[in-house]
Amino acid sequence: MIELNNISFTYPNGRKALSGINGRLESGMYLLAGENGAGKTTLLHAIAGLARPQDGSCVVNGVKSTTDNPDEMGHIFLLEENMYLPGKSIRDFAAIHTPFYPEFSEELFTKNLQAFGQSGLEPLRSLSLGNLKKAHLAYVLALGVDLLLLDEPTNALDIEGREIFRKILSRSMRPDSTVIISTHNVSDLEKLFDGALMMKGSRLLFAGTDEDVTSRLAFEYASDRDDEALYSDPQGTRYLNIYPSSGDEETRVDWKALYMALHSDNSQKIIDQLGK
Amino acid sequence: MDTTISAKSANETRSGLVTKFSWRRMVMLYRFNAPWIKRQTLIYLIFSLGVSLLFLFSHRQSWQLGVYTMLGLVLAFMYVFSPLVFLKGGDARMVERMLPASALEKFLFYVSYLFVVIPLACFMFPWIAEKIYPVVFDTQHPLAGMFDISGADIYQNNQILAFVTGMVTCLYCVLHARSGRYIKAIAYSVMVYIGSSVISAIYTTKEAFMAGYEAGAKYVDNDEITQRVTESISGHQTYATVWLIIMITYILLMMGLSYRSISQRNF
Repeated sequence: MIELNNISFTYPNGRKALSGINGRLESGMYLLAGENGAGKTTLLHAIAGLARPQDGSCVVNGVKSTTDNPDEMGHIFLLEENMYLPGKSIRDFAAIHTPFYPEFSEELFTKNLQAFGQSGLEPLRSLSLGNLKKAHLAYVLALGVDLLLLDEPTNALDIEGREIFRKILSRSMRPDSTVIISTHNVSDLEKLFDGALMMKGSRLLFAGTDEDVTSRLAFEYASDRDDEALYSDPQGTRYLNIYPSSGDEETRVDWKALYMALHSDNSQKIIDQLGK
Repeated sequence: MDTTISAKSANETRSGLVTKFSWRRMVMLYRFNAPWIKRQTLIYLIFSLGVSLLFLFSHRQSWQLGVYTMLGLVLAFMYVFSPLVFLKGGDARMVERMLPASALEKFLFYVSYLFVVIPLACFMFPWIAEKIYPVVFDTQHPLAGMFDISGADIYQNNQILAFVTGMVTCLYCVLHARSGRYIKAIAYSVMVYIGSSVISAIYTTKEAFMAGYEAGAKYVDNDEITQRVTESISGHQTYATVWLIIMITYILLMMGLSYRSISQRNF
């Protein structure tokens, strides 16, 4: 479980990246969404223990993420966008890195690589950005950590690569593990998300599961915008209207629409409704 | 998925977990860095072996002094810049900071490599060559004592420490700088080395000057001059000692800052 306890973080240049972040996440797959500069990457760093908040703390499975404890550090891994993994090939890197991660699965690693059409012996320096990302993803999804943080994992992936990533992500997940994915391409993985963290201007507007959302909001498609709706999201030739939930209807969360709603003029009404 | 609020309170947070030092993880850290440090150690060993052979085969050659002094300086600067190996051809700090090893284990890995492995790789062969030279040629090499520092005086120690100050500065930049780490590590370590060696050199020059002055004073057999020279040399040794202490303090400070950089893991 991840507990975000009133986290605030300001960079040395004075830029405030996180303001009073509070939230509590159980195991599952979470979307982390927010506009550019909202603080998503900084929040991932704070959760991974790579940013020491000036105020508050991040607690992962009962332990502060900044704690200098190898046993606890071995349960968390953050894959950043354009991260540098040293080594001639991803298998070379795995050979020196996996001794620190006892839950690593060589079999799953090979399977993941094969799914992406790679052997793992390709020189990393000669790979395109997309293929480099595939090699990295194949590796980190086989690490077997309890908490995996992925920053823009689908950027640079081709259409087929995104589909393969979606498949290997769902098969690599353990029931008790948590994956937080920061992405702007919500539609790539929408069906996999169990919940979301939505940020705006260094603040966390929402952190919870799809049940948290559907118990309070209803998502209904209609041919017209409804002025009574909390928010109407234009989707092609129709609208997705968001209403307060009466508790009876069975609806599915549209994370993109929820994100747009939280960033609209009616955001406060949505936040109030979610907070009920 | 369970979304109920956990009963675990903030009071139960285990923030003060005790981490036992693990030699196994130290070995794993060496294995993690092996592809890069093995190559560096091998290059350093080959170069220092070459310098040592040159030392032995340059007996009575006209270029002996110049070439050997220059190569000795190159070897010393190889030592100063040795922490650059941890850049691993890119920015691997994020992976390294997430590595499940304690800050102390990571710090001791750097210390053991830079204060034991690299000095051995750089200076072991030249030291052996200096020991062999008088046995083979039945005479002292003109630059004897350059690497065999067993009988070094305070001035030689200051010169050696000048290189160590450069190396620890380089290490700190490699671990701490957020951008331009190659340039910053090289520039700052050279600046610190030049600064510390210039001050050391001033004392050394003054020492040589005073020694000559003393000889002159003896020649004229003037007791008053001899006494003044002795007092001056005594005062100079005090300055050298102060400078030695300053450099040791600087080295400890840089090591402390490097440890803080590792332990805070801020990225």
